[in-house]
Amino acid sequence: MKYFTSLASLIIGLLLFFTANWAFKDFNPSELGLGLNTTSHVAKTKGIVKSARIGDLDSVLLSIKKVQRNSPKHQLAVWIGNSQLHAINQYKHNDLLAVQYSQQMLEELNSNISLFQFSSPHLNIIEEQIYMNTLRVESIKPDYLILPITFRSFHFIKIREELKKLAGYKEITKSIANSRVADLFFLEESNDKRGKLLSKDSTWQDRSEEYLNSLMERNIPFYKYKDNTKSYIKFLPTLAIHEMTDKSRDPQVSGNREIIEINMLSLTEIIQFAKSNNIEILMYQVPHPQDDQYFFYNREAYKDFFTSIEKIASRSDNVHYIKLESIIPNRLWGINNDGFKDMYHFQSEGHKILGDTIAQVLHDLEKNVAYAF
Amino acid sequence: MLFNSWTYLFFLITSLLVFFTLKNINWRVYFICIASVIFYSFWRWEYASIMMFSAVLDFFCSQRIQKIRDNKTNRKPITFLMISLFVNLGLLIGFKYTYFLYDNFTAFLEIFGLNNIPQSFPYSIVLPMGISFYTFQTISYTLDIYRNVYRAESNFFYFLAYVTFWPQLVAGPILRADEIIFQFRVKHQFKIDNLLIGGRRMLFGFFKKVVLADTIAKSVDHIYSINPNSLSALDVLVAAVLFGFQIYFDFAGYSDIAIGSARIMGFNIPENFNWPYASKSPREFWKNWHISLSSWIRDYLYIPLSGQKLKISHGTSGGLGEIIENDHLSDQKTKKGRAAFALFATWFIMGLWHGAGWNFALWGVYHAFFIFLYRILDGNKFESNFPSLALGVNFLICMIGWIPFRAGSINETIIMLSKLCNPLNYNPFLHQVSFIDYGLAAFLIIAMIITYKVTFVWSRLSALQPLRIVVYSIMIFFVLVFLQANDQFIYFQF
Repeated sequence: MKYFTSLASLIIGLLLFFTANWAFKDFNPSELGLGLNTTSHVAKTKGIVKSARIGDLDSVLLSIKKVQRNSPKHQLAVWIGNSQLHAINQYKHNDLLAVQYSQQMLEELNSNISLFQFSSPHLNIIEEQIYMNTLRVESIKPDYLILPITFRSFHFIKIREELKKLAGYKEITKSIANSRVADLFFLEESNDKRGKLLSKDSTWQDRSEEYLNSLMERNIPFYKYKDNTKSYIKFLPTLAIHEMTDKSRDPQVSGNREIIEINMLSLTEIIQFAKSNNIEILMYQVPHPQDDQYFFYNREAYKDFFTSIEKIASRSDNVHYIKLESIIPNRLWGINNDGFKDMYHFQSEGHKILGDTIAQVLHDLEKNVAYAF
Repeated sequence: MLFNSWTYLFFLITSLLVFFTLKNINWRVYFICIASVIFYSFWRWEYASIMMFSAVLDFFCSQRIQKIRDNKTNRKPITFLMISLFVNLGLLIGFKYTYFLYDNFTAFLEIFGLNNIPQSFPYSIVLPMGISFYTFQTISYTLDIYRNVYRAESNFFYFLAYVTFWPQLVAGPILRADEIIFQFRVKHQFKIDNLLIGGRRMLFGFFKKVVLADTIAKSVDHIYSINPNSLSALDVLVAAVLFGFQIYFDFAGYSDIAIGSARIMGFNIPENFNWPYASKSPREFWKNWHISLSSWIRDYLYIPLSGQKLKISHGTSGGLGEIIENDHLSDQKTKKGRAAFALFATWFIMGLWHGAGWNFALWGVYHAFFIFLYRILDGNKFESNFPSLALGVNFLICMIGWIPFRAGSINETIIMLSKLCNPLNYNPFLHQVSFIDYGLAAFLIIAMIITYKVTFVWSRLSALQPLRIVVYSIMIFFVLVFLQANDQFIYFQF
């Protein structure tokens, strides 16, 4: 009897664990936009799309150089943006990304434009400027730059660790030396992380942990669904708020004037750089669900922001600005069985709408036809 | 090896089986040494040699000191004490502070226009895991032998087991030799009671680490990834509170697993935490936070710096709190002045012990400042007259104190702290941090108050067996779901 409590707790705890894993074996909230299927799809597009991992950057650069070498008459268009470009909600077999639909349409229109994409989740304009400089260092001069403008991304100026690794390339740090982004980049770099522990890669711990986990996945029923249970538990607070208010919230965009201005400056620098290198910029206001239920930004701030963007765009003749905020119907945004709404990523049909629209504008630009939206 | 991993659970079970199978006490000690080296090598085996070198050297030095004392020869034991201090502190400074010293040196030279030397140290140095802990342990041993607190251990393997004992090897508690070596000489029998008490303690530790600390860490990482310029004052407070709880759950969780693991084997390791955030003053906080380090600093740094003589060592109990409380009672101005110097110098060094950066030093001085302020304003009256208010004020002091600790640099620290000084920044509509993080911070504070204030309710409720079963089952469930070896303990980097 003395040991009953501990024994009973252990047995019930284990039973709870296995029951939950069984119950959530099909739960996969990450399939909202950036799930396993989507990721593996993006991985297959290596050479056209760079997403999330810096390691993919080289393969895209090589592909661009290959196209430039083999088809010198081809025009090059580079699409730089955030996860909206590489996330597909409710992914189905044969679904494609906007960049792929665009390329298909351009080929149908007998266009000479080759499209390439650089995208990372939450990519902000300063990071996009670093990407631009990567192209410059690699002596890649695109003819067109496609730049999605996201309200949210202008509220951040941090440069992620992954991108900071580019600081290791002297040419890149040199190339941004005179830009606004340099202050941030070098300031970040001065925050030295040396002397910390080495990453745990290739330690005995990693190998044994990997072995033990795979052993348990093979031999213990439902153990492999542990991550689904974990995801469900982590999603609960978000779902609860959603249930209570029937409105998604993203308060991290309440904004700071100074941050927005720095980002605006960065955008201006990108435009100036493009102009001095004869690059046409196709800038667009990213699609966003407009219904009150989905729209969580301050509408006034949102409107003011895009008015400022429009002004910046109108100052330069190499910038073509289009508003695409309403082109994706509500039904094409991600909504899963639990009612969790994803306001950033849409389904493949949405990618097609966006891709076709961009392709049409690019084709018009190529043919020097005036566009109107 | 990370405690929060299947590898550790497997290692522990195997080690326990071997440990209790061995009938000879000496063999058990040999086994502890071997198992501890294996435990360490799961991180990087080559760095175990540094730990072994430190242990061998200190054993040699302590033996020589003891021999000189016993034979009463003309040779001076201080020579061997100095060798030990020089080598141990040399290792610590070399591995931990080279970059810091180099960067400050080059910055200093730049003032005089000397810009020709490389901006960053040209060689790569890896900080050996746990070096701050095991060097402090070996230093305390040699110092205690020199001070004649106890006799030097004559068996090298018992000494090695003391230095390397795996439950406390990489992040403490920092033990004194007289607290653990005598326990190695006892033939511990396997007891179900020890298994249950130790196991329960480990469960609490795992829960604190993998469920609470690692979950809070995601929010903390996110908030600190936002540019500090854009944060509101309330955001800064939320960031500070969340990190305060993260580091507490992280480190207290580690200590619980260490104490629990040792307990199953029959060993008693002293407590490292005692409701630190429920303290009513900074002084009391330092009696209850990281008690083993605080006590170490008290005996080997604060007491010598304040010009006192260590009469009786309290070992790893009591922390710094008590001694700093009594220090200001002296009427002599010189003594008061020296106590103030000792206070600031001690906390400055303790800050740097936590990390090679000025922000860590600032964290130390920040605490020293508030202890000093409580001293001169007679904080005892405030604590006794307004206990709840004192608790709240001290909680805020401690939490804000974590800002330099977590911020990436002095620059970020200043930006964040300055946010708190401007009343306009308290506008709730300026927030950048999500409501979920605000809710999490509020929940943690309320949960802390409830669990602390109503312990008597819990002690009654916990007597109800079904309730205990429900609570433990849920904890086991959560630990099993969240257990993964991805997140290191924060204190490993110190």
